[in-house]
Amino acid sequence: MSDVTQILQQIESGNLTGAERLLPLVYDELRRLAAQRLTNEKPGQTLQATALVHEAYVRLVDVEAPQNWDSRQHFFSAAAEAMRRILVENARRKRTLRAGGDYQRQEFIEDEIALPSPPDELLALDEALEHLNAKDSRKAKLVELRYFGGLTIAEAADCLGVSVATAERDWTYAKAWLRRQIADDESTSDGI
Amino acid sequence: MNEETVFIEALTKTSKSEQAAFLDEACAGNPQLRESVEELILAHDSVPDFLEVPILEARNTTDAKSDERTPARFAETPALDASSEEFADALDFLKPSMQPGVLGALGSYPVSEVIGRGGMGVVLRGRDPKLNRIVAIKVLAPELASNAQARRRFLREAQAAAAVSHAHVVTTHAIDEVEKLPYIVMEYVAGCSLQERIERDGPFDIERILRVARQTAQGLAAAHEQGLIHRDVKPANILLENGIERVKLSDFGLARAIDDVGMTQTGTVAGTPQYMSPEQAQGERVDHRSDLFSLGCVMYMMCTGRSPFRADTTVGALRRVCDDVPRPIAQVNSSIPAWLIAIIDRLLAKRPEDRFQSAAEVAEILGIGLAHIQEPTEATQAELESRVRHGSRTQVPGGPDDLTVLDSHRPTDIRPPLTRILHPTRRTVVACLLVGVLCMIVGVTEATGVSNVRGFLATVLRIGTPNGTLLLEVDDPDVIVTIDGEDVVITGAGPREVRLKPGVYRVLAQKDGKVISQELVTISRDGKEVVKIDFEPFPSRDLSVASPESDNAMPVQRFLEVARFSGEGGFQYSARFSPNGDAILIYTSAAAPARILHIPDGKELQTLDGEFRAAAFTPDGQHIVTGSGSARDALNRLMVWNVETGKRLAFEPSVRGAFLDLVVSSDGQQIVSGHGQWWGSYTDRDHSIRIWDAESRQLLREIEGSNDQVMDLAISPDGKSVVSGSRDRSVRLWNLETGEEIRRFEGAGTEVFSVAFSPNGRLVAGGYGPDPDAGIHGRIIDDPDHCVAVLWDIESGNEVQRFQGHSGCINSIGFSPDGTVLVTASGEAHVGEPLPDGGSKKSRDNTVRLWDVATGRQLAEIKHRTSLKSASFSPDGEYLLTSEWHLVHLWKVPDSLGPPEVDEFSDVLLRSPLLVSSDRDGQFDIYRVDPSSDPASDAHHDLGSSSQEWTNLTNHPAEDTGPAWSPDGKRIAFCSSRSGNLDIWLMNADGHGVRQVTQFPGIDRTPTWSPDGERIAFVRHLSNDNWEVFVVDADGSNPINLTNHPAKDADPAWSPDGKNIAYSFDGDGTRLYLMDSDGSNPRILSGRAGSFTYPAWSPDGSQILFTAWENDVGGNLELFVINADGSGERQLTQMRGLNSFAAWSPDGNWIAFEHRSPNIPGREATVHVRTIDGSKSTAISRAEAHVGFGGGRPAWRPTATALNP
Repeated sequence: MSDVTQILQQIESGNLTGAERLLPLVYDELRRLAAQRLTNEKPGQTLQATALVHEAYVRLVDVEAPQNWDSRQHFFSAAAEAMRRILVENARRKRTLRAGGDYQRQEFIEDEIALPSPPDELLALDEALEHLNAKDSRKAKLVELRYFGGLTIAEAADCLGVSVATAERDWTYAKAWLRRQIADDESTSDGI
Repeated sequence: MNEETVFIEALTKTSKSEQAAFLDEACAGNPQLRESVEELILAHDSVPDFLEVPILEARNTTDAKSDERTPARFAETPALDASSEEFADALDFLKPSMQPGVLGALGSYPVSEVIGRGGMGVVLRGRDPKLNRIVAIKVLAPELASNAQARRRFLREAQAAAAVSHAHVVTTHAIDEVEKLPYIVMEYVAGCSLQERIERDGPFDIERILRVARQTAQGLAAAHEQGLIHRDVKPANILLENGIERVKLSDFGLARAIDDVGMTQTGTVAGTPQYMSPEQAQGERVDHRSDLFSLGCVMYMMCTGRSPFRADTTVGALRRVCDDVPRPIAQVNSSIPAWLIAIIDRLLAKRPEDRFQSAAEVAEILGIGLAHIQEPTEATQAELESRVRHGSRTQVPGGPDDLTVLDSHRPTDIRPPLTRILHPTRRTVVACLLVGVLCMIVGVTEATGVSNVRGFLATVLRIGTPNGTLLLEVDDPDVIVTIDGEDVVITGAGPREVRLKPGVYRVLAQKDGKVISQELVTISRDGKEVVKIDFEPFPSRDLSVASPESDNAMPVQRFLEVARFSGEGGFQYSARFSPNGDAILIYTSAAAPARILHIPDGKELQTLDGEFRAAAFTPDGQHIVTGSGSARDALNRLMVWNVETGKRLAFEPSVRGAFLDLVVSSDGQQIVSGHGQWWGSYTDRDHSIRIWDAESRQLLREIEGSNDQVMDLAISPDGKSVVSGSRDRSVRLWNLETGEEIRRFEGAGTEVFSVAFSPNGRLVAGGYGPDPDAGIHGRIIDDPDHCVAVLWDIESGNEVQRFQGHSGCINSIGFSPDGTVLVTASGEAHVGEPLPDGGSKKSRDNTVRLWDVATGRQLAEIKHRTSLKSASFSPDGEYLLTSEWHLVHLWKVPDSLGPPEVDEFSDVLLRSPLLVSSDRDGQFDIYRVDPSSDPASDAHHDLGSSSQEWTNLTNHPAEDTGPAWSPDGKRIAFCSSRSGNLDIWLMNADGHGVRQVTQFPGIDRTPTWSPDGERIAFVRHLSNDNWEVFVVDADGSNPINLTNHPAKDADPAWSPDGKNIAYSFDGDGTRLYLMDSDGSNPRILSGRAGSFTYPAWSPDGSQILFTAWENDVGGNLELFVINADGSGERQLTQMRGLNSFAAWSPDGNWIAFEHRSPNIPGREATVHVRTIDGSKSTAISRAEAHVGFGGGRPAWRPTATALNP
């Protein structure tokens, strides 16, 4: 039985500290997978967050062992967060680089990960997401699941234990809220 | 409500105006909330694609600018959630894909999203796998693609469009076809359409107008150079890239493709009516100058925020395009310079030769204009003027030659000869008919903007839909009816049938040159529409309100809608009578002009352009006082308008708070205004009541003291005091001279939305809203406990009456002129905190109610479709004016306001459903009639009449008629031909458990139950001349012949005490007989000559209803009633026709019977229900339902009280 499977079973049986241990494992695996993909696949290939996460799941979790959806939720939730961290770190490095920081070769090769948006934008989103988390963590988690984890509304709703309708409402609101927050942040920093 | 719930709710609104109106209400008194929600909406609208594509799937940023990943909107419909079921079907043509986040594949293109959808097809967001770039893919709608010619044309035009390579034309990458489904792969434009921009921003500033127009003209010029005509230039097809707002013209040639879809008629029309050139609208040959006309329309819209030829229908828009002159731009937006107006006017010339002759020329002139705006010089001004005029071959009246006077804001005028406006050309008619067809095929159903139906429709129009024909019923021989503008189709009274192709038609009725009715009618393939046009002269003091079905003696006390004003959808209207009742003022707080209409003919007397949160006539009717309430950063102004000239008087004082209500004292000296924070400054809270000198508009006094919005005000008849209703939950009386609070009235304790003074000044009325925490069902507030009207004695302050019945917020309250009747109107209310699920609370009581002031009893109720804002009596008390979301209704008040028959009858139905036999579904079946359970489903045309639900209980091809409830209400005996003969059958009350009772080779009919439910009496036809009354056990055993006499003994009716049976005897004359229930002691009950049939006992057994000829020589069959002892015989009905098969309601107050009109041959009949004394009456089934013969009497189900008296 793999570590992750064990952790998931612990979580199922109520050991919540398991969740803390899950994230690093998933994080590492995702990074490894992403890097592997990027170096092995043809140029121009799109990285599918969903595919990555699912692959990580298959690799990390002992699929022979009985799993219920509860534990998968924890996994995907962790995976989405991991993905967010990976990308945000990547963006930070890129920005540092641009600002004249030291070039350090990382496990991730920046040039090969074409970030979907400029690093600043991603970092702004990350920051706004933190604000949202402070205000309404469920909505922040939803955004993480959807945007970084690639989950559909229905999957994310399942994960969060809310109805699809609620998730849709949360999603609409969270997007607009983040958009506004980012715009506010921009204008604030412009003003300074 | 918090930010989130308001925001979510606001997004559900379908139009900007509706959204604004909602925000007005939801954020009332909370400007911070409003601002934050508006920011959210802006954020939501501006970047709809934001975060929608998971991060690692969207790595296409090389060609898109940062933070601008918005997909272009190719269709007017918003982007749809592709995962929705609705869309799943439409995307059948996609190959399934295993890739997550991908909907499917079209050819080699993975498709991730549906961007938009229009009449011609779907626009998808896809990825070009070879070049790894995001592309837009337009797919021809499968229904169009099945037409080979359309397909070829689509591809050919796409090829032509692909030949155009220009910065302002969307680049075509590829054209392909998968399984005969053609699609175009195009450049993906990050941005949104001009349509969306204008909707969001309103009119553009001049520089922006010139820039966008010029680029559009440049794009068109490039296309025209390739010999390509766009044919559908409109704001929705002009895409604006994010950032620099670069124009990208899209949708070339698609309109053309539609031309080819199997149209068998003459030339057809394709495009968007409001932006179509006249030659295009008329189906004539078009050239590139047609696009220039459309460009003019687009520029007009950028200047004014609205399209020039808006109309409430497609046909209307086309007619306007061909014959109408748009409202002068200068009247709408005074900041537009004359030379620009002249350019637009020339583009909008009806004749192509009067326009500029090329798009390149237009682009060039606009370029000069742009330079002039950026750096105005006399030289550029002169050049502009000469260029605008240059090349004009035909002098346009009032056109460019008037340029020099244009600076004085005189509107340019390119009015065609007057005769052409007044008499639509034959060409228009053709165009309109063509569009009817077009609508059907392409599904162009878009609303074409603001309604231009401004006048009252002084007629009642009823549309029914039994089984493509259009049946027009015209009562008045002077009425001329036209269909889609085609001249005289029908004149004179009486029904005529017209065959029409399926589609949408405009039916117009005129009398003496005036439009008395117009209505859109949809003809479906197998459908049949009946339009009934009965002309009711208006206003006519001797107008008798009579039932359309009867000629006399049946006064129907219903509110007759005598006129209606249709405004723009999504706007909440208010309406007020002028002091002499000759005119009404209609206004809305949304951005639409207020209108004054003359009542007798509906003529528009005046249009006032401004902002109106509150408005009132002065007592002399010569002025209108208005107050604004929506200016965001500006102060709100008090304005006084001259009704005759439409001009505003100088000096308009301004204040912080919005004007929520305005009243003028009866001597016209003072204006009192109530305020509340709507927008405006966030820190100041202005909830004052202000008193102004009407003459000078100087502020005389300011009354502070309300803690929330002052929603409504009323001045006492003596002008000394004013009563206020506030959302601070108080109704207060103030001294107008001193501003002191005189009294506070205690009522329901909730927010107050309306107040009124009784005409004698002794009473004050207040209308309350719901308790935010009470009576919530889902998100609907249903709070009859608090949504009450309360009446107080002004001297004592005591509550003297409470009117309970509304379940929603009472937005308006008022007295009849004689003070005896109170009128209230209820509508939506957004109150309290949001629900746990994030929804907002609303009330759904959209009714106007009339109450007896003396007793508190409800007198009448008029249901409306949407939330009501106002309801008031005309000064003479004869009419009632009500306003809802986009409709204003004028009702004739019935001569005597009795208890509402509708509700009472519904109550009877509720307690005891009625059984009726009818062939409404093509075969005779037994129906159970219940009151309608869904008030919202009420047909608008039947306001004031009750509505029912009909449940088919038998649904058998055989004839099932003559139903009779068993005394316990559990079984139904009926007469059926299922066995081949007519026999008596039984079923359970729900229609199940059908079983045969009698079996005899004769005819058995008219079953009647013994009161103990054990036996059934009926008539059996032994031969043509020998009918006998039989009785049988309910299980079919022990049949006994009770009459045994060689004559026609028929129609037995068991008395409620079970001792007697009434029946009709036809031997040597017809008589109504009575016998003991064992058949003994037969005796004549009524000696009256004529045929006696179908007796029916009153529930208490004291009276018998029966049918007889009115006189010896025949004539009408009428209902009579006679006491059980043979005394007191009298005629009940006096209706032309045949009235029979009567039944009593269990409470003995109502009778139901079948009525056949002598004018309608055959079996058609209606069921009438009326009170015994004839005071109230209603027809529960119109021409669509027919009562069965052979014992077709309706039957009320007995109630418990009837069972155990």
